[in-house]
Amino acid sequence: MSARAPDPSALRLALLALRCLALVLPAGFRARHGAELRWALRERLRDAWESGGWGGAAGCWAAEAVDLVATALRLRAGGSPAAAGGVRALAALAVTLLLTAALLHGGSGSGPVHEVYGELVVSASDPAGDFTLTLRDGRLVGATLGGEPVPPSRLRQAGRDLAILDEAGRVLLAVEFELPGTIRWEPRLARAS
Amino acid sequence: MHTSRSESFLPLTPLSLALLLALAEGEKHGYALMQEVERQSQGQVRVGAGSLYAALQRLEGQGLVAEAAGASGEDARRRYYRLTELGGEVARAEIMRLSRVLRGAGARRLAPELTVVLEGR
Repeated sequence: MSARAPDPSALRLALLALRCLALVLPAGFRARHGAELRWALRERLRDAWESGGWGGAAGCWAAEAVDLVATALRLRAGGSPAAAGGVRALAALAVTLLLTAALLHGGSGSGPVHEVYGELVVSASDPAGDFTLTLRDGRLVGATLGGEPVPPSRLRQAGRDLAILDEAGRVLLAVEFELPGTIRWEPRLARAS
Repeated sequence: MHTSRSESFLPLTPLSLALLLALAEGEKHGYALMQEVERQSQGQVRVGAGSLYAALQRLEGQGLVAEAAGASGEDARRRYYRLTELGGEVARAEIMRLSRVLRGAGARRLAPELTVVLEGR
């Protein structure tokens, strides 16, 4: 698989979550190493994204998040943490959990294809016939099968994974949107006449 | 039993030794150290950013590592680190200690026959 361009919004969100989590580190440590730490985290996340895509970045993010918490506990265990520090740590943890939930929702849920702006119509055909997919600002807003429009209720999207369902809710056609502007799918079989 | 100053730091943690070895090649910034530790271990060890800077802070406090003066000009966020003279002595002492461990393991048939020649400076 070729390298992917980093998804700017997802990476920003992931970094923001890690920065919030870094607030659990003692203030003196952050004052000394905070800027370097943020820079190193950004580089590491970007490298993980470029080499492993979403999976690589998610694994890297989780490992760094756990490492930050473990480091904070180790550093704080060395002294007597002030009550204010503990409260701040808990607050940072809460913020991070919220941001993580948002990140996961954006990454694998109903989010758009972030790199698509304006309207894009993809036309393709396989043994079962022609189909089109219409994306507007990255969201799947329309489709046709054999020239017939598909009701919006039968369209599904999870990030770059698009699907057209049949009336029973089964997947008729599953398509992965690849950049720049290409798709990949398992060709459907020709319908028996 | 006489204990030299460098031996009083032993045994080093695996991360401390990996960082001292990486810095023995020359000055490096934090992210380069993370990559070097991973490369040294052939991908088996991944050090997180938090652990890295905590270890660097501890090694700095012990006088084994120091900030390299004037090397961070290209980007203020990149602080470079270098091995101190004491850090080099401690790394060598740890390697000598590990070589004794290996020899002992070899004598008990727990390790392959090894010939390790190390000379302290």
